[in-house]
Amino acid sequence: MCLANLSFKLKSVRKLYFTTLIAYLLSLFLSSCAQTSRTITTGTPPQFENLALIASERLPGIERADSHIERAVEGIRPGATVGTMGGVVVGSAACGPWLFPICVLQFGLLGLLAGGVAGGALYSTTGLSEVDALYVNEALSRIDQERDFQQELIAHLELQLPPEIQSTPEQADVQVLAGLARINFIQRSRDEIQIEIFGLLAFSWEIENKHFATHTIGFKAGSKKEDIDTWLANDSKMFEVAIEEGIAELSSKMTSALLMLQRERGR
Amino acid sequence: MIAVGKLQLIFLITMLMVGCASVKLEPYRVPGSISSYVTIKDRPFRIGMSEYEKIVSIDRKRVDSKSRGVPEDVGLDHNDLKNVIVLAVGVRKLHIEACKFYFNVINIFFGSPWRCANSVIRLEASPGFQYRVRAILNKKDDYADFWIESIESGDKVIEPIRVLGLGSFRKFN
Repeated sequence: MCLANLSFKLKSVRKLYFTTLIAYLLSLFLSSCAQTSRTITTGTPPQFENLALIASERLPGIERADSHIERAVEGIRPGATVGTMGGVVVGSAACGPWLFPICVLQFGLLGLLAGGVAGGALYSTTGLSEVDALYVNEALSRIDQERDFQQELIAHLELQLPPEIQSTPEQADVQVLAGLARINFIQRSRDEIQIEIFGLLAFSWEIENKHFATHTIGFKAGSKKEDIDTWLANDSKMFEVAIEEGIAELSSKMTSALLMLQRERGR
Repeated sequence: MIAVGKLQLIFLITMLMVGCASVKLEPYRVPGSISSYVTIKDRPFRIGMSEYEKIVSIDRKRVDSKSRGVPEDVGLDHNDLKNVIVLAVGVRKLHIEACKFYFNVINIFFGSPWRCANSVIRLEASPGFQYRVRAILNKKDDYADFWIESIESGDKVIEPIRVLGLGSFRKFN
């Protein structure tokens, strides 16, 4: 009798426990739904009157370029594109509380010239020699430390875009994250290389209350082909010049695209 | 007779191709016409050494035995002239290889007991300096640190550059 009573009480306690747990989980789920804004990636770019340009901040803690030489070498086979720089994941510190959900894109702009990756990738059995790859690596890591190409791209855009269409992130119709995505090394022959610079404009705008849309447009600029001896001559100055010219070309293309979208809204 | 001729031809072509494939960097020679120069010292591999750090190339020119030592007409006056390399003043790029011998029975028979790392360091060579290349390998954490110091003061003129991932010994051409 006593045992049966105890068993009944245990069942009641267990039932109460599970009911409370389910209620708690349900409330958590509902509250998270209420707080999360939805983001939709659209197939069409936005039209706007004004925009706010956003740059990814430079984050500390990116490893030195020559850190990955040995590992990057592995698995690389000769081919048209022998190396890609970039792809370093940006931490969430790049997102501020005032930002639209554009920060979720996180397309790895930082550490663009992680030269170790390039140096290793450039070395392959029929490609550049490992020695040349090490010298390229040194050049790129030094450039990466001395220059902030992301910021230079933003500066170009701010200068080229008419001031009247530039606004603050809080007031703009659309926020535009402009940045360099990656740099590819293209090997045309045994010792001849070319670099291609890829940039992105990532748009984010509010379509209705707490619902956001995003759209990304890619851009490409290419350098001239040159022999590796030319690239590495004069303290490897040509890499810096090629990237500078690539950024100027990208910013011109980005400015034209932004002005075209802005004009379409005006019609 | 014809068969021997063909074989000789094949041999010659093969040797030519091997030669073309392996010789890439010109040898580094101490600049003869420089008015301002510095010296740099490394520890190239010798029998019995368990670790070494050597300069493999300077400004993409291969360092060999003739690249070392100071020519008589340069007139440097310090104790160990045999193992130094003379550099022209200015920006120099030094490819350094550091290796350490780790005894392991399996590695001796089925691989290399040497663990190595390579790096290119940019040195702004200032007149009046005598430099020394230094490196430390850490097998446990799989990295190597490279730096350059002044022989006179022992101060680091290039802060340590870390290379992650130690490879096995190989010959650079």
